[in-house]
Amino acid sequence: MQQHSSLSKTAWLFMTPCLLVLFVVAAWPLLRTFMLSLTNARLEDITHAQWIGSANFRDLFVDAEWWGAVTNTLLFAAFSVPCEAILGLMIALVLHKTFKGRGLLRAAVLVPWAIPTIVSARMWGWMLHDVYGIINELLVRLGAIAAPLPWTASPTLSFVTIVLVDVWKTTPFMALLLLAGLQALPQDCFEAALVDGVSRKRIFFRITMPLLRPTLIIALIFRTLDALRVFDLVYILSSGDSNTETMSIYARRHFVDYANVGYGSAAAVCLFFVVALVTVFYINMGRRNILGDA
Amino acid sequence: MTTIVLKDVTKSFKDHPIINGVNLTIEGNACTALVGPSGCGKSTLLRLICGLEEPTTGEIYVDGSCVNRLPPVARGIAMVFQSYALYPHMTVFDNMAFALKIAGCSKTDIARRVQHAAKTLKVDHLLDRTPKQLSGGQRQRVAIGRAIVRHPKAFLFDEPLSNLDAALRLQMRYELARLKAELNTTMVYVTHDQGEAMTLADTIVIMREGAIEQQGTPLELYRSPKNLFVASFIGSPTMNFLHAIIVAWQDDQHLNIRLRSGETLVVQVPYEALKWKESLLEEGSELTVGIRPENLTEASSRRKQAGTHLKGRVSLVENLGHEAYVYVSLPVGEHVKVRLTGNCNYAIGRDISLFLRSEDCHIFDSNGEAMRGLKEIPLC
Ligand SMILES: Nc1ncnc2c1ncn2[C@@H]1O[C@H](COP(=O)(O)OP(=O)(O)OP(=O)(O)O)[C@@H](O)[C@H]1O
Ligand SMILES: [Mg+2]
Repeated sequence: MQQHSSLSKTAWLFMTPCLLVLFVVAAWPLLRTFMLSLTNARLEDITHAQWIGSANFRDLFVDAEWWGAVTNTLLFAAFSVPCEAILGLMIALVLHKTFKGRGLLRAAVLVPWAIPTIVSARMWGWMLHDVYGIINELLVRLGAIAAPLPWTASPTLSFVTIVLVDVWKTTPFMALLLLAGLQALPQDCFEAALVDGVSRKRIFFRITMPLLRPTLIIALIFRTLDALRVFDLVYILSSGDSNTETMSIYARRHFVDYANVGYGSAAAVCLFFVVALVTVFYINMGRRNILGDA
Repeated sequence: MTTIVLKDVTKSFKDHPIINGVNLTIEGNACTALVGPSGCGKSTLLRLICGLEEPTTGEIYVDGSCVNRLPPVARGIAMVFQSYALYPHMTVFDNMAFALKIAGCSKTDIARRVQHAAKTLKVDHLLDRTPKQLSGGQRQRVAIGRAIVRHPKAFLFDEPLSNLDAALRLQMRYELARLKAELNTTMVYVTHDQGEAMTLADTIVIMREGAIEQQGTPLELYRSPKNLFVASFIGSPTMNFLHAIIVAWQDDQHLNIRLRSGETLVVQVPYEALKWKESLLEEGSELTVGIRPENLTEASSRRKQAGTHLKGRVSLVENLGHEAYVYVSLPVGEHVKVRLTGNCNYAIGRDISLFLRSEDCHIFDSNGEAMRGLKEIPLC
């Protein structure tokens, strides 16, 4: 007993630095945001805020712009994540095969993921510029379109553009995660299936996919959470356009542009709960696959 | 009735030759055991036969037609993998039923076949479990079950019993022998256990470093091993080897040889058949005499027997109850194992005199090649 308590004392001692850091960078900001969301704090003078209870949330829930942002964010996640998963899986399957130059291709595939989002978003923004952009220029010259398209200006088209650029950027991440999963699968049962007379297509659906499911679910969780918090890509490609505004951009707008710290915090808190809800949903869905196999 | 023929098959992995020119005919409706030391290419040979690897050169024929270019599916051969290779996400039942479902068998047919195989292999109480919830031996049996439900043209077994305990292994060996009679198909059976090979196989193929050393019935290999390698591989415990030199040819049938301990014996060697090796058979050339532990007996002190006696000292006794393996060190620094039955109480350090008959001796020349086989035991 004596030894046990001294052991746990030592354990706490070792944990302290980590807990401290976590408190400072995670728990405290979170708590502070919660608190601010219940006040009418302004950016100019945060210290003289008054408690106003749930007034910010009441305002938020009747704001059509907020619900627009929620819809945009969910739509963005709903379109980009499946596209990335399917494309990523296809690329992973190709990279899983042995062929000449595979190492080079693996490195090349990673390039979009390696470029900071700000840089790649700005790059795409220029390339997609409706007047000077190279993409319009090329498409017009090829005869694919009659007139230049407003890639980042028209409401629906800019949404499509944002999804496409996000797919371009994050598919490599998905591919790499799934490739790691594929490589960890037991090779011999694929050989057994070949000998058993199972066609390649069936092997994919009946063996590869079920075995890859835990990895796929983890990858989907990562990507969905990322997608729900999307900020930089949208901010740079279509800044100030309420048609593509996401939750985090909405929060930033109220927080910084309108200096309404309390209201912005309330939006951030709601974003937090949406993300938490989706996480719980995924974990419940994946529990059987992830934990059941452990 | 499926015959598998391998013609000059070689296989290299990135310039490493693994299989070096194998010519082998695997008879239909018979069990061929593939034995050899670890890493000699047994599994690789099976993978070549079932189509998971393509031979670098040479051809493989199944029922007379070349299958080199055929994918595994089209060959109709089932394989039990050394690593079981069960589908981790399927239950035992689904593991066994998968190939049948794919082949489009009816539900009742599948259930019947799987139940039957599971009963035979004593895994019928495990059908709802996943492979993770099975012991190594149970997995191995499920893997066997997965192969037998398919009724394939031929079975390839890669050490299917290696993970079972001794009792279960004997029982499974018996079940496999029964299965072999029941299924009446071609079987290729890789094993390290030469007892398994001797009892199950109609033909044994001994491999070394990717080549076949000798092929024959169990008794042929036991009675007439072609060289020292085969002689040391077949038989348990292994054959004893003693150094000897040629003293003189008595006539063109009989050779006088002297063991290191000074004993002499006369062995019958058909000189005619060996003429081409003359240089190895000069007086003074070295020989190796092989004698199996079961062919040595303790010399009776009362009855004088004609033959050669080896005097030594008991250094170790492995007593199995009904018999004992006695390790005897000879004064010249050689050791022999003897299998003795009856009263097996031998004190360590005790002097012992062993008796060997020259008919039982295997004679190998200085290259390790056998100079004669032992006489066939007449069938009675
Ligand atoms: N895919 C491969 N690439 C390179 N070398 C290989 C490959 N497969 C097998 N080998 C080599 O071929 C040799 C024979 O392997 P194999 O698995 O056939 O041996 P084995 O006789 O079955 O041995 P064991 O009794 O231990 O199972 C080994 O030296 C092994 O390292
Ligand atoms: Mg092997």
